[in-house]
Amino acid sequence: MIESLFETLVTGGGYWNPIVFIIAFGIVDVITLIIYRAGEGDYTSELGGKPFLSGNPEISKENSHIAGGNLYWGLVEGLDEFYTVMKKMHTGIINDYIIWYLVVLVIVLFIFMGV
Amino acid sequence: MIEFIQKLPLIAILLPLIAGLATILIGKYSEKIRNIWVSSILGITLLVIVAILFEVIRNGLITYTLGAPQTTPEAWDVPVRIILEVDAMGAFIALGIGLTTFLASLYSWRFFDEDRLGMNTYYALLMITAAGGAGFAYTGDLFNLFVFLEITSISAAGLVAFWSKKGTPYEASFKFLVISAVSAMMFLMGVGFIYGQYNALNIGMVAERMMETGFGTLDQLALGLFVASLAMKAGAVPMHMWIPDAYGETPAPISMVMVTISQLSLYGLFRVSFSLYGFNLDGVALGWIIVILGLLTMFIGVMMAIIQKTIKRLMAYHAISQTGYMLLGVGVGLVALMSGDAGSIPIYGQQAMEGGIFHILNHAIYKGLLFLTAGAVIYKTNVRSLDDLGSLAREMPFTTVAFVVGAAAIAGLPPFNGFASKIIIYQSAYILNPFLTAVAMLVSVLTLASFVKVFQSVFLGPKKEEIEGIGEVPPSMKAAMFGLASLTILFGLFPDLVVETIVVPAAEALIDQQGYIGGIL
Repeated sequence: MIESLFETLVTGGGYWNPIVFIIAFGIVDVITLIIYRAGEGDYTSELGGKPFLSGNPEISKENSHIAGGNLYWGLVEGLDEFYTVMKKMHTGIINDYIIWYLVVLVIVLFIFMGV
Repeated sequence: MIEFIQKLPLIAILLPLIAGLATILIGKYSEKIRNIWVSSILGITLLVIVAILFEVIRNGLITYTLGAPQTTPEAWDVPVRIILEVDAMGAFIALGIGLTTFLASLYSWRFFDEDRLGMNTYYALLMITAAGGAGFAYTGDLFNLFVFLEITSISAAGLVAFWSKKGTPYEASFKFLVISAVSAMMFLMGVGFIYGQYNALNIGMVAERMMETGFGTLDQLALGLFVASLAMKAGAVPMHMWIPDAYGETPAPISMVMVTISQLSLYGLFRVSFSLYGFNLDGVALGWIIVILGLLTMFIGVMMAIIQKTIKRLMAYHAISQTGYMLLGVGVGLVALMSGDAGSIPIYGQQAMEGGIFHILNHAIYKGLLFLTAGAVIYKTNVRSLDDLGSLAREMPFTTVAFVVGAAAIAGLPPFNGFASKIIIYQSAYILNPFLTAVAMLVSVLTLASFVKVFQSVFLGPKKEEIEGIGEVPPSMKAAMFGLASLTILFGLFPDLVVETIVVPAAEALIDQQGYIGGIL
């Protein structure tokens, strides 16, 4: 019974064994720790210097939280045309929801009935 | 003993149904006793559902006929009767609704502390939802699929509208009700076509008669109605738009239950495709329709999630996106099954189906967990907007860890359960067409990006004065989150055990149309 807990999963084109993954992860952690410990022992955070924000003054820690709405701004701006279409689709009006259903129904019927 | 085992599916339906009605009376006497009563009944129901699953896996189909002797050739003279026919797939799918309703009851003990008005009705509706869900999974009858679909939808609509003092739940409930009513009516129309054609409603009987007469125009019409209606209820793109409205406004424990209600419709779609039509139809076309719906669903779901600004709407779009993986897995399986020799399935097709079916259970677990963590955040802060939250990891470490587990699982990070099912889907879909895997993997990357956004904006950041000292959620809410987080980790660590024990039998049962027909005739 206990052996069956650790069986390897056959995934179609390969295999997956989480226990092997965890062991490998542990080994990588140990190697990372060894490299970390080989560093300078007398390092302090002050040695890192202050952040450079394009010449602007550093924002106080209390005001430096980036809110969810600002994240991935660049990605959303880059895909502006896609999102314009998507937002037009998502009207929030129940009539439109039913129209989409009818569109899909007609397409599916066309395919099945070979029209 | 055998007779008792045959009655187990009926018990799983009737127990929460009758106890749900009794809940209203008990609640008038004592709130505490009512809470214990509800969770105990739903806990027992879950145990019965698990017992049915293992019984079906060990000894094959369970059939039970209501209001008449067991099926005999003479009994078919009157072809209308309620027949429960539980195969491994039906028993598997009932697990989700059993688990989520039980945990929702536990989580709800304290979740509505602020406003406890109408809690008797709330719990009664929750139990009726559990009964309807179990009935949908266990019935072997087309008309009763419709009936249980309606029971589940109407009780769930009541639950969506329940928290009427926050957000716009009435509007959300109205939309859900309209969508449910339209899909149920169209489904019923399809059932009418089938009944008119074959003078039978039992899935096995109809499939048998369809094989004799061949696949006709009315069958095609009915199939179109079944596929479109059930796909809408499952939240497939472009019929998904009701999901963010409903999941986003409903109380968090009900959002978790709603995920499994949508999965029931997905199960209905698979049941109709494999057990009712099976080799009678052009399965390759249907398989590709399901694959394309899956790709669209996963991609548009995740892209819309990225731009959301409230925590539950974002998670609702991810629920849509994850449904795409299930559609992809089972769609690839259907294409493979119908492309090969009759009755045989290429190995990659079988594994794709296993991946899709495994993902159904995994999704119910980690998405349920994520909704509960969102509920915990709202419970403590009364804030839904991602822009107004932050630094909660300092105050709510337990919820933070639970969220990280759920987020890692939904993003498909190893060694959590989402990775195990996704990798099966990736690798088996790749054999059919590498493009499918490329899209699925891209969606996983975007899912991770989206949940990094939630984690950063809700749990990280500098200390906020307004949340200082709010503390963690009560133990009952923690217990529900702990249960789901544990399952997320355990299913991730021992995926082969889960796949071999319950997923493979479910996939084999779904493919085996003759076995399903033979169970009743």
